Amino acid sequence: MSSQSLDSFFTPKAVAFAGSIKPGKIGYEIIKSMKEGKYQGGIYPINPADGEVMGYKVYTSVSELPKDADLVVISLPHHAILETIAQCGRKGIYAAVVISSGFSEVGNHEAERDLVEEASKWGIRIVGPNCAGLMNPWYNHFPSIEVRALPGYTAFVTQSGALGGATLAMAEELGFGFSKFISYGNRCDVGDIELLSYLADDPQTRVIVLYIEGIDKGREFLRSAHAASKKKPVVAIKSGRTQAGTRATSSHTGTLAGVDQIYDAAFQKAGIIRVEGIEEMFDLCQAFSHCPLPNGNRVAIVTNSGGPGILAADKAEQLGLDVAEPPLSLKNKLKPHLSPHASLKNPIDLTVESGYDEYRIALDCVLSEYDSAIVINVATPYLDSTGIARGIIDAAKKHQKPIINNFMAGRIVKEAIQLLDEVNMVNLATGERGAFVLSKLTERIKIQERIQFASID
Amino acid sequence: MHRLIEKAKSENRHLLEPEVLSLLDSYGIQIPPHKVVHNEKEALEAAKSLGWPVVMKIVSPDIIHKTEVEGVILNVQNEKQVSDAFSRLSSLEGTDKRIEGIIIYPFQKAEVEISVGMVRDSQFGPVITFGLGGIWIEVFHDIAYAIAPLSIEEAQNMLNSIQAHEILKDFRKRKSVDRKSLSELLVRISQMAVKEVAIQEMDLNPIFPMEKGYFIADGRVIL
Repeated sequence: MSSQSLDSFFTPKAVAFAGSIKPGKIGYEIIKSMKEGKYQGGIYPINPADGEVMGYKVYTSVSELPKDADLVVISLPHHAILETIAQCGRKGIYAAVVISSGFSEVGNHEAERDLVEEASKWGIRIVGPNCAGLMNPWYNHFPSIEVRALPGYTAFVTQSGALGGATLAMAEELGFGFSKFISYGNRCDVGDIELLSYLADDPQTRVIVLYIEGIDKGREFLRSAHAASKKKPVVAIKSGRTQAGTRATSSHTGTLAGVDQIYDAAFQKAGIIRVEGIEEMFDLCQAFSHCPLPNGNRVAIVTNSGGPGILAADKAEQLGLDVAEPPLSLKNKLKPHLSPHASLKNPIDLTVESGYDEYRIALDCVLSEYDSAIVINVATPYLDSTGIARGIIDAAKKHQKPIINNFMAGRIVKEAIQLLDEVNMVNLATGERGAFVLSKLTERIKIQERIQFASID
Repeated sequence: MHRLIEKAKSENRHLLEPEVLSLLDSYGIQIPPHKVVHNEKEALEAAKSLGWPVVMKIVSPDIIHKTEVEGVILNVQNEKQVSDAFSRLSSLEGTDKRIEGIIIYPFQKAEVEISVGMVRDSQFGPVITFGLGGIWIEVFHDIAYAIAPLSIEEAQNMLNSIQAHEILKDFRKRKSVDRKSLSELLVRISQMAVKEVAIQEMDLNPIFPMEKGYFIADGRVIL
């Protein structure tokens, strides 16, 4: 099946909803989310009780629906779904999001097989069952029970609906947006393999994130992920539970090779960047969405306070970045513009009395020399952090290099961080997290080189 | 399927050591000189032609881990020791421990021991491993993993990604190992693993890296 066939899921002309239309029920809540999300196409609730819901005409059967419906969202009890699928097939609706549970996740494999069989009879593609739905925020399309995502550049594909929902709720707090969100639940049809190739060509998606608990069709997954990571970064959150020792083995190799190491090897082959959890994912995806990749691993740390600068430098070195001291020429260039107490090693400590000019000039100078920068502002309430932010923004304009800011902390830097946000500059809560992100941006360059040589049959 | 694998499968056993060597050889992998003997006279002739000292090991379809049953005798230095070794190894035979011969190699000593292995994963297919060899692999678990097939670049990357990778380079007056031939070994093993789907697991351990080439001192292939 070509990736083209997934378009109806993400950019449907009109959406039908087969499920309860009572307030508080899933069917009703999804329609409400579509309405509140300002979906522009037709919204067609289907229910034996006709009339209206939220101002939308209710259709008593699929056959009555207007012709433009090309996606159906099903939240019916599992035993009532097959008939609806058949009706959709007759009506020419070839995409179905099945939210309903009661399938293989509770051992009801027969019901899931029947669902797949009926759908394939009509050529209907399924996301789900037992899923949290999907979203295309750029299209105001929210057929999901979860918190509506803001538009952004990260596509998030999750095997766990609950984790997906929690991630969306956290993202809302952070103001972090998504290009697409897909919870595929039991993955009876559409899964990672197809989504990877779809999202690789999706213009709004700059980075693809997978939350993976387990993979089926491993070799196909590798091919698809490999092809996708040639086009854009692919990040995976994989829980690290190891099943080493559960396999019957006769060789030492077999005994030593844990599932986790094998996943690492698979990700390496496909060029997938593995992260430990949601927090790292958010940090990294912000950077992949908004920062250019560095040309090398030399990082400058510009700060107004010693401690946080050193923590960031230690972390950067530990992660393989080069926190080299500036050459004499650069020191000489910086010296006349900075406080006599400024430290011109790396971290470059501008000292506490620095503002717009010092930050702008220092960052401009170091970016001519280094591949990337971490810029730290440990604010004191009496200092104007917005001036520092403007200094960074002005310096950054002249360079196509990744900069991670770390404005600390809380209320007194809120306004300054907002200024950074407005121009899509990344600000993270600590410089160490900035170091992590830069190490991964650097890794991405190596991955791009490496996967050209990966041999995949 | 390779005929030796087919034969072993039909007899419901894993590959015997001489078969492992012959399989590796057919995939262009360097194998050490060796002889399989069935009596003391053959053993003496083999030892003399291979050159002293030698290693003698049992060839048995029933015993996977030969060292654990004392089925390996290293550094056999003369004719008397060959006779002693031959009778000690022959005495290991039992009703549930068939012995189909004794395999004799030249005794090779090396400072660095490495290992190459394969395990077939139900999802990702053959996974190739590279690490320190001998007992060290089990002590340090310093192993690089990669999914087959491997390109030469991926194989080189494996050599560089073990913790102890410095040991493969010029190190304290010792010359660097032959990294090119080790990379080629990994590539060929990976190609064999992709092609021979009946192989479930494989250990080549220890392998002695040489200034030129390598010496595979032991190997097992599990079907």
